[in-house]
Amino acid sequence: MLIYAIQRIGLAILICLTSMVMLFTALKLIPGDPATIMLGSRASPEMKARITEELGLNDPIPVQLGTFIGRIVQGDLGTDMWSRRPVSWIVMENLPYTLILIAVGLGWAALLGIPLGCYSAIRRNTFIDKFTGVLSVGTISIPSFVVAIYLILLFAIELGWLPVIGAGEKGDWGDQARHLVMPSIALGLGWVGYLSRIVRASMLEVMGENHVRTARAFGLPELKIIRSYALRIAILPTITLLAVAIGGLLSSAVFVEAIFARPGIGKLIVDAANMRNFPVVQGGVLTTVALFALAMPISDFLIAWLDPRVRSTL
Amino acid sequence: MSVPLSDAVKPIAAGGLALLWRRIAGDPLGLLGLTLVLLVVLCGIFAPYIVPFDPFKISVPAKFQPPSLEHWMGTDNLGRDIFSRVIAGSRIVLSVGISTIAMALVIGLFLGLVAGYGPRWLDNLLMLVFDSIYSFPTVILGLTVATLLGASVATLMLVVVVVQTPAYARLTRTATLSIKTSEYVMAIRALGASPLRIIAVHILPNVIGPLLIIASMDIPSVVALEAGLTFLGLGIPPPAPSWGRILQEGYSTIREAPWIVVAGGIPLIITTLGFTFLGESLRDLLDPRLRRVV
Amino acid sequence: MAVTAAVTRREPASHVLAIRDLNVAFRTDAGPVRVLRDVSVDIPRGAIVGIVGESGSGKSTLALTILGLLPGNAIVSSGSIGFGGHDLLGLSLAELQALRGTRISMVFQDPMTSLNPVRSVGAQMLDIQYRAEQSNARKRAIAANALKMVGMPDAERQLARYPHEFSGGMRQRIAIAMSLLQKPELLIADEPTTALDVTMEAQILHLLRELRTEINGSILFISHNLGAVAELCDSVVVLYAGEVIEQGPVGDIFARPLHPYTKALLECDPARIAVATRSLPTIKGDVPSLIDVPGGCIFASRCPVALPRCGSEHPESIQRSPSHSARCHLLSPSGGR
Repeated sequence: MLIYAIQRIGLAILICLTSMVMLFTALKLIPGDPATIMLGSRASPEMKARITEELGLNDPIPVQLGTFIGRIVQGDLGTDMWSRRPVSWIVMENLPYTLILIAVGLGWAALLGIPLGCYSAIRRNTFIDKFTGVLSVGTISIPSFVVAIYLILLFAIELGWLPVIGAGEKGDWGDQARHLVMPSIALGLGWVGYLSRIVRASMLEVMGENHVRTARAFGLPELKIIRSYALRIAILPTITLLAVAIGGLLSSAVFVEAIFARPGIGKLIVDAANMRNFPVVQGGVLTTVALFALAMPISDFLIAWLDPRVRSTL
Repeated sequence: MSVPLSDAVKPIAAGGLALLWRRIAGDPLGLLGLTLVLLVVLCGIFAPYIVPFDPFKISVPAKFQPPSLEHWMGTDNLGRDIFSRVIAGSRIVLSVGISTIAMALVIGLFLGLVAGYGPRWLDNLLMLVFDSIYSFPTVILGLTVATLLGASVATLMLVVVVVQTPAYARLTRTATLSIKTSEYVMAIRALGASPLRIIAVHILPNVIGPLLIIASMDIPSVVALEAGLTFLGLGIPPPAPSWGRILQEGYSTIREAPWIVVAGGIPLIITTLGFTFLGESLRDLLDPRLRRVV
Repeated sequence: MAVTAAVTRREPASHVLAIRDLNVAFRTDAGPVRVLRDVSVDIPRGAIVGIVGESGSGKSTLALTILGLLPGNAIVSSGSIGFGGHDLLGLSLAELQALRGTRISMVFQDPMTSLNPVRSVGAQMLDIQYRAEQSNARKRAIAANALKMVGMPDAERQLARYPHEFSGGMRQRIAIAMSLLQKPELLIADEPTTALDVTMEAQILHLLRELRTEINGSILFISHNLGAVAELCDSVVVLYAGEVIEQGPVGDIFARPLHPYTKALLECDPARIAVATRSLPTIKGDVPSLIDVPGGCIFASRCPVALPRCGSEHPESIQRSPSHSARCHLLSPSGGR
């Protein structure tokens, strides 16, 4: 069990490391003075000279890479030259908002998508199945920012029901909830379709298996069979596929946060990118990398928790 | 006579177009997809001839006019006719989309062959890099590159190529590995066939088909990526009428001129839906065992 | 539900199951495949009846039809299955569900895939008892008892374990235990030993023999293994290409087979080879198409002693003794005429 955990987390760390190396390489490959890039266009010559000294930008490459990674591992993501604050603080301020958005968005998508997928599998080729199928493909392919904008147009501007900007008053749960409605819908809409498709495919496969036939032969009620004999197994590959697609979720979060002006890692990166504020972009990107690198081990653990066969091999 | 990679590739190679047409024609969604795609492609090709107004012509007195008979989609904050901008935008979509995917295909093909044929360590290294890119949130990758290089068409294209290449490289690599180790190829190698010949005669023909199908299915995401990055201000710079640009400008004036975002979003929806429906229809050619999930 | 209550009542009758003139077909793109034609089988109370046939003879279809577990493209065009005073073919799904696992149970062929892999053995055995109005503790006790009955050591502990922790033979025992939980009147065993090796097979057969005295119910034992059938069963039904071509007491069938097919089948048994030979005996030819069922005797194309009339006239079932009959023109009083 321990070895399994180490293996999965090790892989995540490897991905993080690779991303860091690629980031570092990209930085080095860019024509121009690294100090300017890192400090942004606002930097003065003195600052540039100082940072060159501090960060050892004239040291040999391997040493630079080593310090670069070393700092990150210690939690030092650099300093934002605009606000003079450590990037890691800025990231930590914004991270919870992104996590909440993703959780709520994915949450309602799962609440809607998984039952839809089940239903489509059980009643295949009925009108609802085909209709859901078309709708799924449609919603998956439409870009999330288009959805977000149209939602705003309808619910905020035309109807005036929901607020557009920000995350709501701190401490006021109701207000924060209202501010979450449209962003989470924009985020989750494509996922309802995606989830229902993979659940449907998975369920169709599982429902045809022998143990379901045995359950029927013992007269178990259909609902019980669907829940404990089919869905319980069909959900496993779904979890894996979700983890693989987490990158898309984070991408959508970027748009949603930017459009709704919600605080979060996405908006952080976008604003910083627009100002060529590299340290903040780097901090945000590395946090994102860590997030999705963690998605794989988390899903693996979840599967091990749900599937006794996997538990036995540990 | 090349080694068959899978039964699914044979129909593509042998008189594929007729089969393609029959497949799509029998599927209403596929037909719809094809129609939409043709609409976009034709708009892109004939854009300069069908725009009613000059997409770049600024006319401040005419600003913020709602849709009318004269301006089908209204005008924006600089008095430019939005419908013309949308049509012109289709050209951008086509050129950026096709060229980047083409480049990614070529690079991916090459790298995949290298990974498949080269030393083990190179293969492992390439696969690690590709897996890291592949699962990386694409928009964030785009933002990073844009920060480093500044927003421009070249940056955008670089981002798309970087994002798309891993998938094609992976496919090529898998095909290369499996064909390279097939008994048939072992035999002709014993007879003295050079790797180059094996690649040209046996690997390439088998890989092209599936690659093209996957590439065509990537078009919606590439279009969305370009539009998204431009929308965030980090893609194609103004005044180019990318649909993302129209959406961005429209969003900032959404209260005064809501029709702008509607105009910017519709072509995106048409394009992504069209290519997706078409791609879904074609996907069965890749794996006939997969009954359509829709 | 009144009918459900009636269906779960136990009534005495001489036969526990009476299948009459059953016709089952499967809808396919090429046309309906008639897998069972005019099949009639009786299962007396307390007896073990064997159904023997090669692959494709329709044995599993017969088993599935009894409990209404056929796939969606199956058509039961005519016939009846009498059980407890009802015709099973006429029951609704709810009524059938009331029977399944309670009065009629089934054990399937492949123990490796027949059990739910993500639920513990105990949980599954409690699932099966969902209709009983006893406490969970009581149900667990019943489950442990059933496991003891099939020879599982340390039964209580095994309830918490998962199917993949057991070998194939053990899983089949668990499956048998599950089927006996609610003391059914009829246990259908669909090739229960086909997927097991010879040692495990012997154990399972031994188990079934012991259980028949314990449970006081009937067993329908389906197999293509003649030896197993000879060991276990009281009477045998021989199925060929969807038709019952011979049935009778096990001793009669094996010692004095009536139908040419049965004779050929017995001759194919390597254990019966008396003279050393280079090649194993087989039955020449193939099973005919069940989409275009040929007229006449279904075995005619492969029969070594076929008469001209065998190709055109479908033989009736002819009784040689009160319990032994076969579908063959050679048995009719007119003989070859």
